[in-house]
Amino acid sequence: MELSERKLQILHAVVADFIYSAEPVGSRTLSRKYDMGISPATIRNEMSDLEDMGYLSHPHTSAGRIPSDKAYRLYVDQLMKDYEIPDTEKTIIAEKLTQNVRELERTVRYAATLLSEITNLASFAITPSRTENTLKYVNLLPVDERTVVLMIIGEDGKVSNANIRLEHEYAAENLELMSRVLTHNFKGKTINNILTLDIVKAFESDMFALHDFAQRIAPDFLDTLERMMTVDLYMEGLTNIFSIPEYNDIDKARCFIEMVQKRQQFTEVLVNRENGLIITIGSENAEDYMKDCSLVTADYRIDGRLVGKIGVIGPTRMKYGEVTSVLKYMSDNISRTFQLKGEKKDE
Amino acid sequence: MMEQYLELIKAHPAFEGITQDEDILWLRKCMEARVETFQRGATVFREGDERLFASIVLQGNALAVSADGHAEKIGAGGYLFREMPSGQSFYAPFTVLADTELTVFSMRVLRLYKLCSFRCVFHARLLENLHNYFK
Repeated sequence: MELSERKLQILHAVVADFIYSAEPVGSRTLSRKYDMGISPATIRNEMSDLEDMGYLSHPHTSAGRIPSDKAYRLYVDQLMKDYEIPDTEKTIIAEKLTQNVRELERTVRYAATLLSEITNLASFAITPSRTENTLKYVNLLPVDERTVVLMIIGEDGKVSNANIRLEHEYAAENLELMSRVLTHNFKGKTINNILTLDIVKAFESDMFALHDFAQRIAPDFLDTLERMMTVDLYMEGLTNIFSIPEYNDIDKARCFIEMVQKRQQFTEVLVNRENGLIITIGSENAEDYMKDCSLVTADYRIDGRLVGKIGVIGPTRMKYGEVTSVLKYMSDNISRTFQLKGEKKDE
Repeated sequence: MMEQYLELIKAHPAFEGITQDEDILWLRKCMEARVETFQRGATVFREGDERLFASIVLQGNALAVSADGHAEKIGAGGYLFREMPSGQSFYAPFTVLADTELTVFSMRVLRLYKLCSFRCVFHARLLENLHNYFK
């Protein structure tokens, strides 16, 4: 059922007030604070209707109302006003993100820190899933007679390495030869694709001389490749939650910390999330452990292709307008930075 | 040792027209020719090494790995050099490993071009054969 203009106005006022005050909102407060041109009694009746319709709830301890997840959804979709980021803040974001473009991981981590500082929420960022990343270079470096470092470099600059302990001693020249052959054989292939190949078989049929060696390093080679595809999760500003009234209750705070510390689960949630600016509020989250939270994410792209995500997590009472504007501005800046980097590289 | 490989050597196109066993065996003197064997996995020579000898694979397989990692198998009859070597030596264009038990027949590069003091008739034929192959 569509809400009347007046109900929308009242709901907007309740949500906006509660977001900033964290206190249940009563009809008297609304009447006093907002010039609605209607009496407190009318506001009270409308609020009662909104409660019946599932937009507001009524905590036992207060005469005021608080918005439900449904109300926040309506607020986000229809009522929320665009937040204009102050120019000074825009400058700080743009400058700080472009100052740290040496490598993606560092920039993304920095963006997460910046995001938590600006929003006062817990923030996170994940690096892109690299299933489409291609191999650029393989190197086997001798450490001592029986230890080598295997280093694999992706076309996007991601480096993954492993220490390998060998049963037999291999001459440095053989390590170099093997590095060359592996690079030659797999350069330009996607990591995903290489993982499906029987790399030892290729040596068995064509290169007996290197077959033994290939067999010995194959498991480490594949593990190291697999690690290149893992998504890195960076979290910042977890302690910000202690200044949020919802988490004054130590048990709630502990639950929140425990939730975000389930890094693997949390990373999966983020990876599987749709791209774009996505807001999920409380019960909209599929995971039980996130039913009390809102999650806001935006994606960024590397060379317009690989997609990573950046976002915040916090109570459902969140400054959605401010958060979404900042998040969008930051993700656009990261994408632009790494687009430019890619273009420079191509020149 | 060369005696046991005489038939293989004579069958190689480089020695076409050189049919006498004693002529082949004479190469030991005029070309410092020798037969060498390598265990599987052994390095025959490395890319960039100065090679005084040009080698032909008699038995087994060699694995030639180029600087860019391209690996090529060189079987019996194949040459372990890319062009007709001249001068005193040549620099190995690739690294060669014995991909299996490997036997190669090697001749001193310097002697390939120099008509030897022994004035052996087959020397010129060998040179011609190699030139024809590498032209």
